[in-house]
Amino acid sequence: MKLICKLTIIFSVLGFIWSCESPDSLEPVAGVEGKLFIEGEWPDSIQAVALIVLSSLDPGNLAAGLVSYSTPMLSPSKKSEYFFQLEPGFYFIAGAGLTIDPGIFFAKIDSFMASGNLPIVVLDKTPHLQRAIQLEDQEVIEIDQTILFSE
Amino acid sequence: MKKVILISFLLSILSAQGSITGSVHRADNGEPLLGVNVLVQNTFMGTTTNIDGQFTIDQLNPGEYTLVISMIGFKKYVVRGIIVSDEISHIDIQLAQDVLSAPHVVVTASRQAQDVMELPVSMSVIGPRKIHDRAAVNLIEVMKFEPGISSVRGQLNIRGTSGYTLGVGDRSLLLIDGVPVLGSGAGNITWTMVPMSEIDHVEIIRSGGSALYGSSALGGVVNILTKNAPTKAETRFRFKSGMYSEPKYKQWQWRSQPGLFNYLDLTHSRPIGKHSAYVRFHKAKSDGYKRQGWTDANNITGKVKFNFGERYNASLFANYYADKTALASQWKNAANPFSAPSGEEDDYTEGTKLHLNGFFNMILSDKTFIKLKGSMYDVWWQNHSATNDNGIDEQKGYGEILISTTLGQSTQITAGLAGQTAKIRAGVYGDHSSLSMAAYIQAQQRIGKKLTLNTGARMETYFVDDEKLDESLAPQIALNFRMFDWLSFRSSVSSGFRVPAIAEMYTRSQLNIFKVEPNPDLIAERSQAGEVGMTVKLPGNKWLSDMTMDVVAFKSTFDQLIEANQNDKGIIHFENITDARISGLEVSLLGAMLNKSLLFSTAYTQLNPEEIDKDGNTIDTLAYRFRYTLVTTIGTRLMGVTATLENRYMSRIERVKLFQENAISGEDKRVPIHIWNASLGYDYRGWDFLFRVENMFQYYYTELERNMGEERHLSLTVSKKI
Repeated sequence: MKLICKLTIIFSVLGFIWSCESPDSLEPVAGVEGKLFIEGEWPDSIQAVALIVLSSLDPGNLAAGLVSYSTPMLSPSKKSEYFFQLEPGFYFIAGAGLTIDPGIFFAKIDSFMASGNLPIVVLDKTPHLQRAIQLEDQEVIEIDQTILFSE
Repeated sequence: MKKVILISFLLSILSAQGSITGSVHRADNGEPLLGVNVLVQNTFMGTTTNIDGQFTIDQLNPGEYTLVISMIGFKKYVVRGIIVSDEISHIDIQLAQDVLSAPHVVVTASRQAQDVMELPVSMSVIGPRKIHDRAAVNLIEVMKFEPGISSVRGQLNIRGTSGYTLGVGDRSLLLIDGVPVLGSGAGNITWTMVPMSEIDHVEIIRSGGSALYGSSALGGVVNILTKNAPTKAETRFRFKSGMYSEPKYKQWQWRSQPGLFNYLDLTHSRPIGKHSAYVRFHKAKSDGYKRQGWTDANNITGKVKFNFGERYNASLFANYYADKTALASQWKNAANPFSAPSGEEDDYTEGTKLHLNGFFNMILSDKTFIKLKGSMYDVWWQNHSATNDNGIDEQKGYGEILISTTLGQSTQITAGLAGQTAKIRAGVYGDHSSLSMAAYIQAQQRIGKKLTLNTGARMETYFVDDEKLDESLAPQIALNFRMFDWLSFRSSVSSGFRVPAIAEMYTRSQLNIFKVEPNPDLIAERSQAGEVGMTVKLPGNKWLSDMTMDVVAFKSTFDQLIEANQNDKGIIHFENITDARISGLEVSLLGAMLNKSLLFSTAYTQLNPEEIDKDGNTIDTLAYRFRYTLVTTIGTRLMGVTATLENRYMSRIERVKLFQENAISGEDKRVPIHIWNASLGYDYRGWDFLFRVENMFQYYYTELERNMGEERHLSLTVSKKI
């Protein structure tokens, strides 16, 4: 009788555990990753460079279409890696220069976004700039980007 | 519990003082028990049984005494009304096994031996069984199953006090055999150097402990009591070997071979005349579950216990630890969470730590004893990073004198002086020194038969670089009302403080876009804490027995809490920026079912961690705190096989600070934590086998942003005593 009780409890517990799903566990994400290269000398006005992801391409109002940004590369670095985690969909990727200290940019990003005036400039001399991509679920696209600064 | 008490009176050898002698045996098979603690209640006299289970306590003044006989794994036994005159009193005791295997007498809460039902503050006690059944190599992994305790990337949190402070400035104090082992520079705890195989038990004060233990005990105290060498020669070894599973998603897999880990403990102990000693070697080698997760460590530990007769004894403990460990600040990215960022693949740290501590006990009379403590801590640590090479070299010395005396039959007074000095040379801090001096007093008074009142205070003065930094007074008042043998209530109110660590005041560093700059103007943070709790022990019946339930509600407020904060220029400083309030509830329940063949324990913790303004209004949730935690363990022995199942649930961390969420995309990798562990053990002719799987369902989570939690791993542990 005691053995039956024990086995009943043990198998009940095991059954309960196996029935427990873990819907919150992290899963693979979709996004874009790659290397970012700088060619040419950094201009004095640019303190850091980042790639930005836009849902719509309107250079006059970047804040409206801004979806994500990469960790900024500090002057005078020449190479870094980036990754954007994105939901499946259609995006534009562009190179952008930060005209202020990146630390200040992140400390005040909420107020910059609210004002719609981002302290960044689109680096429109960059090859591969404003690349359009289509992302599927759990898909990671690898794209290397090069930003050309004028000599 | 079968018991036989025989009290006989024989002729006294001493004319003015008497003795108590006796023997202790197992109730189930009559074998003598070695190493049983025998204490004379309300005095400092006591001893342990020898290999034949016998003991003698001499030089007792004539009077009526109570003996408390206890040993982990057995039920406590109390013998009252022993008359000592000019004769020898003899008693024989038979101890029944305790299925819950937890210590009944603790020493940390008031620096005196106390029954767990008479504690004035909340305390968890981890006995050797909890460590053995988890084959644990890191104490935090065991402590996480206690109420109110969690960790964020190895940083201990007692009732959410610490959060995550970049690995510096812990708000919990670690003691080994009652002596602090904190590093003075970063103020952090090195858990990997704790000699797990030599732990007798661990006592954790979950409410603030500053009144007795000073700065760093703001959030609580972890006191590791190490084993004494047995009085016969023996050699023990434990070998744990296992492997990490590959990530279940192909996109995350990063190596072709499974990661392995091996841990070896080899201990030899023996008597040396009246004294005893052990030496232990520990080797740890792990590939880790992620790209930069490997470690390679060696640890040598030794302890000598000196017995200079009935009234004098001493202990010397030494621990040398050397390691090389991979250094990883974060994952490569969310698509490659087990890989390291480019350029950090070969980063590592190496270091050595030497910790010596010792004490000398002098029992001046059955009412008074003096304890001298001392310790020395030497740390060398070097960072080998492609971007940021620096190192730390520091030495710390600690000394303490404690006197404890009993006044009448009802009051015990403990007072002491302590001092600590440290010198540190570090690439990121510069060269600094610190000095602290403290005086403390604690009184424990019995009021009637049911009420115990503890009052105390500690005064401490700190100097950094020969300049006075702060002076703090931490008082405490605590009450225990033991209404019945099976029911007690407790309540305490205390103040606490923590002076800033050198690292918090002087760190200057830059990692990528994060700049950390010094803030030498930091001042001590202070707290006021209160709690009300209740412990109930229910005998039960054959279906449900040995039940212990503990319920406690607590509330702490913090002034000038030190946190790493980013200013509007993007520069990180440690600042006295936050006032905070943490309130909560802990409920724990443990017991046995089905004629004690099925054991269970569960602990629920609810926290309300708030950042508040000067008027007490809530501003935000404190970062890196779990609001809800539920841990459950169930175990059984069936046909010689021991089976254990564990579950740990922690709610999603609501706020982080290190890597702010992407405000634009809403990227957020924080999820609740659901971990299942299981183990199967078998004892075959003295060979102890334990198979264990942790995170059995491969649940993926982060405790700290951009740091994946531990992958599923399987292990087999074999241990043997020769």
